Amino acid sequence: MRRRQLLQGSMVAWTAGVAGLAHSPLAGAQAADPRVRHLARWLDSIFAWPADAAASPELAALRDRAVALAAAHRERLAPLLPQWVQQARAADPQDPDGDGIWVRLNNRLFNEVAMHDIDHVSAAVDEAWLAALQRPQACRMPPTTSGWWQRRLLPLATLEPALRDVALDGEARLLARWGQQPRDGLPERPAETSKTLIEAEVLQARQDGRRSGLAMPLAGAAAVFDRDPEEPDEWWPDARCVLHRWWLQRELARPGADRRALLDQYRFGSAATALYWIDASKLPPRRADQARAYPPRALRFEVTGDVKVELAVDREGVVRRARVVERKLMVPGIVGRPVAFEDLLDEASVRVFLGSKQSVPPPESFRGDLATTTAFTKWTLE
Amino acid sequence: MSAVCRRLLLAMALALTPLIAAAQAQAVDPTLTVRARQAIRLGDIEELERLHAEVRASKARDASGQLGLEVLRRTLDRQLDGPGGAIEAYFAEVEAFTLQWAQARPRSSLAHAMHLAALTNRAWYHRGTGYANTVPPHAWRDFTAVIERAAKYAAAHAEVLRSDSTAYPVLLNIARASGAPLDRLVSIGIEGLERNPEDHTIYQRVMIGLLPKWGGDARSVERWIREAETRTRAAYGKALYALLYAEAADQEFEHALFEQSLAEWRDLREGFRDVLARWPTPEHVNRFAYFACLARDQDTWHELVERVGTEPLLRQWGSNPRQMYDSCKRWASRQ
Repeated sequence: MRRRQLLQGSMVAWTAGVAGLAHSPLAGAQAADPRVRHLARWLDSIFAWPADAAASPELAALRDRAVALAAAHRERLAPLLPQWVQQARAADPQDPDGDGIWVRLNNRLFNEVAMHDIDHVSAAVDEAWLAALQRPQACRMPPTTSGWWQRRLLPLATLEPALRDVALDGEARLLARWGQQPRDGLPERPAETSKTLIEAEVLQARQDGRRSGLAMPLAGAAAVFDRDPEEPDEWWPDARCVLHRWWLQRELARPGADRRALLDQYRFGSAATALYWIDASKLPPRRADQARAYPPRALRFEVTGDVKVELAVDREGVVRRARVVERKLMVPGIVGRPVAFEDLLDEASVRVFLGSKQSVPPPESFRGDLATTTAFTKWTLE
Repeated sequence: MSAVCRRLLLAMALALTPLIAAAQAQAVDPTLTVRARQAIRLGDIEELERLHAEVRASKARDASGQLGLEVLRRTLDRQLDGPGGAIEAYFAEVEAFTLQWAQARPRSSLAHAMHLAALTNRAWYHRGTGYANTVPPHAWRDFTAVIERAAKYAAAHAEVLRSDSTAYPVLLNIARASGAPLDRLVSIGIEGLERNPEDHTIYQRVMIGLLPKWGGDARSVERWIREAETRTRAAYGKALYALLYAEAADQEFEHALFEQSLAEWRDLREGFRDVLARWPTPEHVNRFAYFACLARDQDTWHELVERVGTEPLLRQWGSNPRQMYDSCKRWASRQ
C-alpha cells in the first residue's frame, strides 16, 4: 500500500523515472546545472503517461490529447526552469547554493501541482468535471497508471468527446498559469474540505456505527474501516479517488446543493498537496504527550507561521471545540499562497487549544453553554 | 522431408487448427479477475453486470479448472470479505452497497447473491471462526439474527435467485448456517446443478455442509462425492472425486483424511491424474504430491517430485506445510 515517489533527504529519488514517457525528455533534463535537471526530470515524471495497448478508444483519445498538452507545457517551461533555480537561490542570499535550495525547489514544484488541482477556470469546465466525477468509472485506473497528470485526467475518459474537450481546454488554461509568482485569483480555501468532512464522518462511524445514505464503494470502505485505518493522505491509489468521488456524488444529490462550492471542497480535499509526494508513514510520529510538539509533516517542509483558531469555550473556560479559520504561513521557496502546505499545521493548532483552559468570555457572548472566541498560535522553527 | 510427409503434416496441422481454436475460445478471459476486482472496488455496477453476462453464457474454465462464473464469484466474495482487519462498519457499508446494487438491478441474480454474501460475511464477523463452544452467547445471537435476515431476503427474492446457478453457493451457506437438515442441503445443491451442471462450487458447498463439524458424517460426505463423480464422469473422469476430497481435507480432515474419511487413495490418485490431464497447474501437482505422501505411495511420489521442484507451493501441503513437506522428503529418501 505504501507508494509513490519518495523524497529522501532533500533530494528526490524517482521511482517512476522517465521510461514511460511518450515523448523525449524535457530539454532541461540535459542541463549542466543539476538543479535544473532535477526540475526537468520531476516534471517529466509527473507528466508521464505510458502507452497502453489495451486502452479503450476513449482512453487512447484522452491520452493523445493529454500527451500533446503536456508536450506543449514542457516546451513552455523549459526556458523558465533556470529562472526558478535563480529565484530559489535568491531566497537565501546568505547561502544560495546550500542544501536548502533543494527544499525550496521541491516545495515550489509541489505548490505548482496543488494550485493546478484547486484552481478554477470557468463554469463550463466545472460542469464537465462534475459530469465525469459522478460516474463510478471515473476512478478506473489501468495497471500502467503512472504520474499525477494521468491520475488527474483519467476520469475524463468516461465523458462524451465534446464535454471532454471542454475539460481539456480548461487544463490547457490551467497549465498556462504555471510559473506565475504570486498566482492571482486562486479560490479561497473552504472552511471544510471533502478530506476533513470524510475524516469526521469516518471517525463518527467508527465510534457509533452511524452511516449515511449512499454506500461507500468497497475500495474506500476497506481503507477507512480497518482496525488499522489509513490516514487521508495515505489513501492510495483507488481509495483516494473513490472516497472523494463518493462524498461529492452524495453531496451533489442533496436538494439545493451548491455545485461550485462542493467542487471547491472536493478540489481542496483531493488535491495533490505536499503529503501526496512523500511517504508520510516514514516520518517520525507526532508526540502525543506534547500539545505544542511541532508536527513532523510541517517540519518536513519547514512550514512556519500563524494559525487563527476559533474556539468554543464553556462557562468554566474549557475549550470544547476548535477549528482553524485562518492561516498565515511561510514556506521556503513559495511566493504567494502555499496551497500545497495550507493544512499542515491545522491539526496541531487545534490540539494546542482543545481541552485547554481559557479566560471565560463575558456572559452575553454565550449561546447556550458555549461561547465562541478566537486565538492565534505561532509556529516557528528555532 | 518428402513431399508426402509435408502434405501429411500440413493436413494434420489443418485438422488440428479448429480444435486448438476451440480450446482457445474455451479459455476464461485472463483479465476477468482484475476487471471484477476493480469493478467491485469502485462500485461499477454496469461493469459487474457485463462481466456476469459474459461468464454466465460461457463454459470456459481457467487454467486450474475454475468456470468463469466461479472465478467471478470468488473474486467478488474476496472483496466483500474485506481486509483482514475489517471492522463492523466495513461490513455495514458492503451490505448497503450490495443492497443498492440489487435495488438498481432487481432482475440480477448476481446482485442479490452478492447481497446475501454480504449478509453472511457480516454474520460471520459477529460469530468469528472458532469452534461453536468458543463463541460468546451474544455473538451467537447477532450471528443468528443476521442469518435469519439473509434467509428472509433469500425467500423474498427466490425467483431471481433461483433463475440460474449464480446464487446457489451462498444459498447453501445460509442453509448450513441456519442448521438446515442434510437432505435439504443436498436438494438445494441438486436444484442448483440442474441450472448449471458445470458449476462445481455447488458440489463443494454441499460437501462442506455434510462434514462432521457441520453435523454430517464421513458416510454422507462419501455418498455426495460419489454422486458428484458419477454426474461429472463423462466430462471430467474422477477429477471431482479428487478435488472434493482435497477440499474435505482442507476443511476438516487435514492429514487424517485417509483415517477419518472414506477417501480411497486409489480413486484419489486416479482423480488427480484426471485433474492434471485437464488442468496441469503447479497447485494441482503440489496437492497431488501431498496426498501421495500422505498415502505413502512411493511410485506416485517419485513421479511427481520433480514437477514439484525445489520450491513447493506450501499452501497445498495442509497444516504445518513446511514440516509436512520436509517429512515427506525424509520419508521418500529413506525408502
